[in-house]
Amino acid sequence: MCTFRSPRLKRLALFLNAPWYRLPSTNLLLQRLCNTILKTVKRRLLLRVLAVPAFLLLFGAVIWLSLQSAFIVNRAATLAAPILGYRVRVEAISFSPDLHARITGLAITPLNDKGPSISCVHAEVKGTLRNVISAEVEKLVLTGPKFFFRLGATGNKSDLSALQNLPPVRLLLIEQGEADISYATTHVKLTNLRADVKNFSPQTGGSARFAAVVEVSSQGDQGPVGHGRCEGKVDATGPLNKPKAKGSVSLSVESASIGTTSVQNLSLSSVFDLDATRIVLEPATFNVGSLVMKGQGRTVNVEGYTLAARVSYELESTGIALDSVRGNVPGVGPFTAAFQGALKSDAPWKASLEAPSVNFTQFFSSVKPFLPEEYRAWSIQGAGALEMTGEGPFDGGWKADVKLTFREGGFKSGDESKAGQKITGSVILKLRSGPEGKKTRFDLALDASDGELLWGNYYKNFKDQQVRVASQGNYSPDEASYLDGSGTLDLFGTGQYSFSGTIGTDESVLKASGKNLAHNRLFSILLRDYLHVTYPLASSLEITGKTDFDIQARVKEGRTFLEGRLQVYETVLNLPGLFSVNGMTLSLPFDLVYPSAPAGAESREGGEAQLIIRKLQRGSILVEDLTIPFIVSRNSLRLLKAIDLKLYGGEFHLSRLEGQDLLSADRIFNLALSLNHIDLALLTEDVLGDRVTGTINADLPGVVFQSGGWRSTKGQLQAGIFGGVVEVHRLFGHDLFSESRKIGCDIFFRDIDLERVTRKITLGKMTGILKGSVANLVIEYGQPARFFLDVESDPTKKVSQTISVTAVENLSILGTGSSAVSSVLNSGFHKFFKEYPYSRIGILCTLENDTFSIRGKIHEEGKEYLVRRGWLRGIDVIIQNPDNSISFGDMEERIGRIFRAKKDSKKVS
Amino acid sequence: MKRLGRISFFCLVMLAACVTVNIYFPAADVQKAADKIVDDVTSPEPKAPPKPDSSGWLLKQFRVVRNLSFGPECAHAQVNVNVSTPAIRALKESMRNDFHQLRPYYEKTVVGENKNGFVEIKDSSGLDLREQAEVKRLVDQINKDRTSLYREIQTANNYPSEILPQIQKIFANSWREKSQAGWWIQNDDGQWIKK
Repeated sequence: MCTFRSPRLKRLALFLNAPWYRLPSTNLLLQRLCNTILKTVKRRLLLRVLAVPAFLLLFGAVIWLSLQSAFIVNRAATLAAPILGYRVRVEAISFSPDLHARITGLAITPLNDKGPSISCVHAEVKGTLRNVISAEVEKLVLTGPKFFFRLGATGNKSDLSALQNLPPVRLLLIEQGEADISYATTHVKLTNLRADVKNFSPQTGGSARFAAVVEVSSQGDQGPVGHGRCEGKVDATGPLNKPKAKGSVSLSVESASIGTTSVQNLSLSSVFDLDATRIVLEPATFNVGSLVMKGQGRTVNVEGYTLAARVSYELESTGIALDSVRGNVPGVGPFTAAFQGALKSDAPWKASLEAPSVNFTQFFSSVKPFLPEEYRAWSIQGAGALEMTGEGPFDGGWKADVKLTFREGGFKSGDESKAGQKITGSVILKLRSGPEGKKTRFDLALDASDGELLWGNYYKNFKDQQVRVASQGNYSPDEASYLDGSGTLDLFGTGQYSFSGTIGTDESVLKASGKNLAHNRLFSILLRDYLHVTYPLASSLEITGKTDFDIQARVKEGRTFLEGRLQVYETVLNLPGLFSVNGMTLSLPFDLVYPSAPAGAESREGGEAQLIIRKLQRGSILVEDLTIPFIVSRNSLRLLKAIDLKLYGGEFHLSRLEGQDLLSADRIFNLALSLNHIDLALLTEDVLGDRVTGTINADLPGVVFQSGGWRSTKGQLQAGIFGGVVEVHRLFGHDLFSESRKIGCDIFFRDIDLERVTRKITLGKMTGILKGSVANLVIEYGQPARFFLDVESDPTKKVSQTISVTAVENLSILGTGSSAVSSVLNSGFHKFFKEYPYSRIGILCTLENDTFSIRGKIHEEGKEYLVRRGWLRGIDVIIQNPDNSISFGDMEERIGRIFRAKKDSKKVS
Repeated sequence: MKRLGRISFFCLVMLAACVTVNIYFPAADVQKAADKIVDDVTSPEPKAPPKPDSSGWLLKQFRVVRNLSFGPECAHAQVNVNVSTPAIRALKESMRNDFHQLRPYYEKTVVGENKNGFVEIKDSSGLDLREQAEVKRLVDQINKDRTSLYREIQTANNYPSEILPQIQKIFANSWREKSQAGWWIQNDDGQWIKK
């Protein structure tokens, strides 16, 4: 029985043992033939068996010899390049029989320039025969390798699919490596790269550890730059195209910048878990030592950002979720947040954030550089809480709710002239995006209460007072009118306010209205305390009644057009001891434009305004049922009907009142004023507390008010007083209601009965008729500042002209300051005369620059007389020292002496 | 030679054009006047108001036009600068009242005298808003009065308007000189120091 190793021989033997083969007739022949054949076959087989090892041995020898030659290896690599897709070059190579290869100057570059390229100074490959048979590498050591990658969406993106063709490597060591990763104009360079990869296989993964120094550079000024370190470890299972991996990565950046933003001491670390369906980073922590943003002269410096979160990304659904987000941002304080979203086309998302300890001071400091220049010096105080929720697709239909509550809130302007503090309140903002994201609807509710306000000199403590604003509108950034809205305002419960408007690139319109605004609340809440400090008298004003208003402001081409109506109902004003107004109503339609412009097509004649006062009382003045119709339109005011009043027993008539440029600082008012038969006694009693008999008539057809002052350009005021006539011309005044008020005029008088004058002013009895003038009279700060008095007796009237001793003494005091003449006149022969006749009186008094001088008008025989004696007897009052000038204070003192002396003498008698 | 002649002619024209106008400004007298006004304003004891008396009609009318506040008798300044007009008297009176209200804030180093003759708020952070409003009101009022005072001295003495900064400077010296130890003053270099 023979055995056959070769299957062919076995099949042949079986064939020969077939039944027909065993027949006696054919058996012998066939057996011989068969033996012959078998001998031939065995010889060939033997030859073949010997040839295969010999060939293999020869082939191995050739390969081994080839691997000793860089030239042959390079040639072979060139031939294999189209199959491999890579061009491989070595500078030197040695291959030992123990399958240990040493390569110098290894360079692997992709043929199509799309794959990563590697150059390596020195590489060692170790393997065993088993590794060769199983096509794997036992150990690969790359010393000084340089890897080049190009990333990004451009055509130069590296094709990493070739990595799947890599052979398994049991141990890959990379020492002193470098990696140059290019993305657009940015280069990330990893230097001092150390990595060890164990049991790597494109099919089963492997584990790796790596560490490197990171340098980021960019072309131009705006790209990212920075340097730091990265390290990590990865344990991967599964094929490269469906990776499963766990590991950790950390990146610490000493400094980095992108554009005008720079960070210091940034660190990012995370443990990650990657499988075929998702990536999970948990926990991912992110810390920023300091963040500096610069631009347009602004610098933002924020320190101490921290953020920790669990981040997961679903590969299939592109869903991204941030759970358990905890962070701390300066100003916002510690916060928690969550985010869920997907990177699909409609990009749905849902997010929430809660920050229970917002520090507005810090927060405002952070955002201050983004504010307009004039607000950067402001500061904000207070603490509060922030809650935000939002959801929806990014490209439209999203909604977000923001709630901010604050306490101890406040603000302060840079110059500290405006400030608020201790304000409590909340802001609720709801945003709803339109389906295409082109229009966003907002709903704003603001509530503020308590607090103190400083605005310039204005201060008010609004304790227990409340302001509420509710507003709704739309924001459409792509439309010409990009913002429209409306709302209501509750201002300390003073009435119902509402507003609406649209803001656009070419035109903006704002409307506001107020209904049932209670005067007493407006005054008591907003004004009384302020007036108590600044104008104490006015703080006792009692006011009732209500006001409505509607106003529309249209801003177009740099001008603001104001139209509306002010309606005041049944108002009572009462300032105890000064005046009271009852039943005042005002209906005031108006249309104005700022800055002022000539009336054009935009403006039209406004409606008629009307002021009605049922009763006005000031002292003895009583005005009843006064109706004043007028028009405020086109920046002008026009009185439609003259105002006639009964005043001090006479008539007051004001007409032709017109105001121009009402909104300009140069606004001007013209009017005509006339007074008829005003009873001077009533007037002086009311104003001065003393009655001076006479009447006043005035015809001032041209009175002009401008820049806080007024003047009469035409006409005169005439008073019948002391039996004569006093005419007042060129009246003017300035700042009449201020401390620095100034009034002035020229006065001419004639036929003044001196006896009646001296009876009134008790200067000392004098008789005669006077005429003269007070030119250029100016009274400032309530004191005479300047005048030129020219007074003389009028001899044409043929009346008695006498002067009493008292009057002489007083004139002496006024003129000289001395009462020495008194002893002369009250002694000797003179003491029998109490009055003397005179022929003339002529006096000039001037006050200029606070210097008062009195001079005589009568010059005879080299002397200057104030009073010239009569023909036969009398008394001369002579100015001995014409240069005598005294201060106004001295003159005041002399007048005081005259009247004190008189008073004392009365007491003695 | 012709060129030399032209140059000489040009130089002569330039010399002729360089006319210096000297305006006489009696700085010493103004300084005396300023010292006196500042003394009047800052003197710790306010002068007693005049006693009311019911004298004759003429005096009464004077008082009416003076808003019933005939001021204290003012001696004529012993200097050649007019510092006693109605406006200056009223301004002094107003400034005196405000200054004494502001004195506590000088002492708390809230306000100080700057180098231009005005009061300036230095640091109001220690005050509540009510006090800040009061300080602001007083400072505004005092500075408004001082502005009027300097202008009034200029116009009352017929000085040209260019002199106004010198008047302010002189008054600044007086205000700082009369400031008390520990109050803020700004030196001419712009630095604030405590006196």
